[in-house]
Amino acid sequence: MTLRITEKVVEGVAVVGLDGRIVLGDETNQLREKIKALLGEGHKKILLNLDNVTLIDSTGLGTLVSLHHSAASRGAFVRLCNLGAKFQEVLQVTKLLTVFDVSPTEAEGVKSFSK
Amino acid sequence: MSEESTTGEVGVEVIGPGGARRFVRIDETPFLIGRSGDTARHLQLKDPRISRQCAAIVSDGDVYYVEDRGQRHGLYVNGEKITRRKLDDGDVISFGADNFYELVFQSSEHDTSIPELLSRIENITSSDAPRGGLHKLNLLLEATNLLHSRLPLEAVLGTMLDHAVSVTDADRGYLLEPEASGKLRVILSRGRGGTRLPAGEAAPSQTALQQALDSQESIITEDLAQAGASLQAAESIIAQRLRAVGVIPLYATTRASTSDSAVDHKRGDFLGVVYLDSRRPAAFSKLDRRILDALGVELGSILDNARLVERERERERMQQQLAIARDIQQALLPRGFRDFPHAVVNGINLPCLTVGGDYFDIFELSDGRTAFIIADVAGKGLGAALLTTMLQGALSGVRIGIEPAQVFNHISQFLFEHAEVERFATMFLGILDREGHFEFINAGHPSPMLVRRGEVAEPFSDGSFPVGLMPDAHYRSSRTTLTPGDILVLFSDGVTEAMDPDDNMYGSLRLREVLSDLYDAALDHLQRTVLASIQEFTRGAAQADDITLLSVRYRGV
Repeated sequence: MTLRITEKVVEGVAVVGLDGRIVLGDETNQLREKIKALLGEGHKKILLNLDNVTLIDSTGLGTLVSLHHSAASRGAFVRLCNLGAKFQEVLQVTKLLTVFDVSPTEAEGVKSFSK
Repeated sequence: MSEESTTGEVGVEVIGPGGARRFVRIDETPFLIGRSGDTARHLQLKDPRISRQCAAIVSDGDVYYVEDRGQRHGLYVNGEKITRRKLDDGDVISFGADNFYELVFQSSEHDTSIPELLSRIENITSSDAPRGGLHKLNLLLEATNLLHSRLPLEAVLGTMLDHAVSVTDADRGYLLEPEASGKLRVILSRGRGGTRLPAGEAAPSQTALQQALDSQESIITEDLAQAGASLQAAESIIAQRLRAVGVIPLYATTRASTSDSAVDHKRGDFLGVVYLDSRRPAAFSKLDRRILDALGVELGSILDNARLVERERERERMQQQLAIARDIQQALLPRGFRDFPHAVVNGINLPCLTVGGDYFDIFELSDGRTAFIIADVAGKGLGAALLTTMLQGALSGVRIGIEPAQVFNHISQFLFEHAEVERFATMFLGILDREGHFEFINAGHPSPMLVRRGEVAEPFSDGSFPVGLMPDAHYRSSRTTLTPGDILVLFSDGVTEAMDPDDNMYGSLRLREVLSDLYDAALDHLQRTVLASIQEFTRGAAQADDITLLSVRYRGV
């Protein structure tokens, strides 16, 4: 099972749509490669749309956090939008809601970068 | 069991009280002997005179020992009472009662030579002349695979190569196998009459090899004068003044076709090449092509079988290592839960693979307070298990008086500095004193359930990130007070995230519901009930994550 990744640029924000599961293995590798490539291209504002993500396991969570770190170290930002209730809860339990900038919708997520 | 079939095996012959005999192979050590349960994992002797945890056979390299692990009537080897003793072939192990089970230890460590083994199976194979030897060798390999014997594979392949050299009357023979890169590497080289050749001398003609690989057929150049222009020009052939070269590419055959038909076989994976050369002109001219093809099929089949044997052995080695890891991990968990003056505790850990990424611990601090810990390393299996032991080691610092928050800070920093490990962990540590003062640190772990009479709450979520995720994580203790009768149920997310076949999660609501009826239950009953409820919910779906439960009841002063 792979993670389908789409990409578009909206108002200078790289919006990455994720569809599938963010779990240990190819899926997390795919995601990592994608974000690293965007950072390599010089993108500073990256928004991950998790609307179609069905499952994020602990490895997936670790990947998201480490991408957040590597973006921050290059002066870039990785933000999240359209979190499912389950993932919201995981971020709550792990206190990571305070780490990620989270928006309810993609439009609001894009806007959050211009504030 | 016949004599041949135990060749190279280590095991015990079990002789029952009535004289019935059976042979049990020792595949894994410690080989646990007992009456029932996990302590009798390898050999169960169902008799009340055998203790549940009775004895074990352990190994150190090729040497085996038997150890008394609690047999109530004592353990005897050749009639002599022992606690631990080295075992020799034929030693009789008994259990301190007359007219009872006896075990005869058997190790056939004789260095069995290939020719000897071949002659042993002589009588079970038809001796049709041209391919008799190889056919037998193949049978031997098949038998090897079945019997897990310790046949040295290199010797088998050497014998195979010798045979090919002698059948074709070549000067030299090489066995080449493809490396991961696809490049062929010489793994064995033999001269006439089974002589070994110096490794440096192996310089098979790449051109001839390539030709055989391209055509996927044996090629023979009976005399270089007749060879194609590209072969003639090949440098190594000229340099070594070779006159005749034979190359037989080997393919796996379908399992059933090891028998007669050399013509109509199906070609499987490419396995390697047998390369034969000779300085005598026309050395291979008398060879019928069909003989060569038949040889190729037989050699391919042997190599294929040898690979299977090798893979099987590798798998067994890995399993043995995993079994050791499991034993160590389980042994590091607290056992025989003792009651503390002010608290009763119980815990269980069920890894979904052999080893897991969860662990729990309970210990008493020097000031009389009781500490309990649950930790869940991201991921599962061996990788996660390695980290649980590290966490446990670090957290035991609390036991010798190091401030818990300091230990959490240190662990988190350490893991973060080694980010390439790509693991983090959620942890919860609680410390309870006799008056009910409860200090806790939560590192991203789900809040333990507090069962207070019929009410269930999750009031311990105050805390910080999982350890190892954030560079600047700082932990500090929170404090609250428990009242006598309170139960704390610590759990890993394998409990709440257990899934049914339709991917629904068990969830914390179900857990709360089950616990609300259990406020006055004994803790082992409480745990059994929770596990049963999960099992009922998952309806047989495979356990996807490690499950750990740790429960603590505060009794009051």
